[in-house]
Amino acid sequence: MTTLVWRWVRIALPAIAVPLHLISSGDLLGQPDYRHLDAPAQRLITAVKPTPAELRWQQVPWELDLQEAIVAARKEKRPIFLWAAGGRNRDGVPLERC
Amino acid sequence: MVRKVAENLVPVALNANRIPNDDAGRFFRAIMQQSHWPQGIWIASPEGKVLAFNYFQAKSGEAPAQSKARWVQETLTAVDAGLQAFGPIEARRLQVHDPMPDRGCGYCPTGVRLAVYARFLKDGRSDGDPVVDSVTIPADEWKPFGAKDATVGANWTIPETTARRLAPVLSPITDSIYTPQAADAKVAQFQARVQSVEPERIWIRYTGNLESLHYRDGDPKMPIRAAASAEGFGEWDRTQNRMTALVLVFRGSYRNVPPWDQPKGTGGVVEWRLERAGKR
Repeated sequence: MTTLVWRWVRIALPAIAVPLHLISSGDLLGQPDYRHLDAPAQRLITAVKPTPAELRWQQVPWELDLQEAIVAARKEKRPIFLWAAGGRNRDGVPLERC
Repeated sequence: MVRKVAENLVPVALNANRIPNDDAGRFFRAIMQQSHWPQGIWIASPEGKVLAFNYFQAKSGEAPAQSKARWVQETLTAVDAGLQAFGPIEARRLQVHDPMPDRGCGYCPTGVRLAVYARFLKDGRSDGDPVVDSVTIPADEWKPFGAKDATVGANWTIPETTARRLAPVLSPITDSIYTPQAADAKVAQFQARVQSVEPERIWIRYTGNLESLHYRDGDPKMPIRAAASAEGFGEWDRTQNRMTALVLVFRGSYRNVPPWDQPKGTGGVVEWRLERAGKR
């Protein structure tokens, strides 16, 4: 029995450890490794950065190139979803602060 | 809603104030003019005919959660109306598409585009919606963030011109008219210090302070004051002589225009990495 458990641990541990390391180092999230910051700074990052739920709108395949969007809509024969924001000389695009 | 938009429509995000004066710009301007309104959401045919339109208007006294729910419902109603008016379409084959691939990652044509996040904080916890923004550091101004000396304790100053560019992180408001820019920075002091040296990399510690005075719409009667202290680290690759990561964390306060000028706690994060490993 002990041998069986140990065999599973040997198989499962690397499979668990690698993703855990990647997540803790930020690799899977595409962000820097925060371990070089102290605990209060890491907590602040957690409080400030958007949660995955708050970034769901980034899963929309937004097009910023207007000509590309027109070409895609005509080629695929589908409507355009236009989100326009700004005004009062605001800079940027609506995918960021605008 | 995300799936409905992604699978059925060609989604376009546009700054109504920055529409280019070319054929594509005129196409989108004509769509907007059909509704006689400068902002909102339009569902339009590929030929430019408006099929549905919605402009969300906030209601006085409405709670933020209710407002968000109503925004979602109104947008869905517009999407459904537009799709129905257009007729049957096949679901789009979704492809990985990042319209801002250089945000917080790698190099952009003019330098480095740092990802910026900010938010109001209350008792150390998030209080309201997050700001998603970016700040571009020109290529020649990026160098001072890197290690000049592989000696622990070596220190240097980030030029004020460069530090001022970080001013937007001081604002936790998603509307840029409430956001200080580089020219609004009154204090922009950043120091760097070599914290540790390893065979292949150098870890750099940053500390700094930012203070700004910004006038909303340039109106002296609408001052917005913000300040924050910062700390963070940088990772320098000794074999390739270049930065591979940067993180700056800001703690501060924000005072909106009078009479809403009581100081409120804020937090900010500025970050970048050389390699892209996953979706930000």
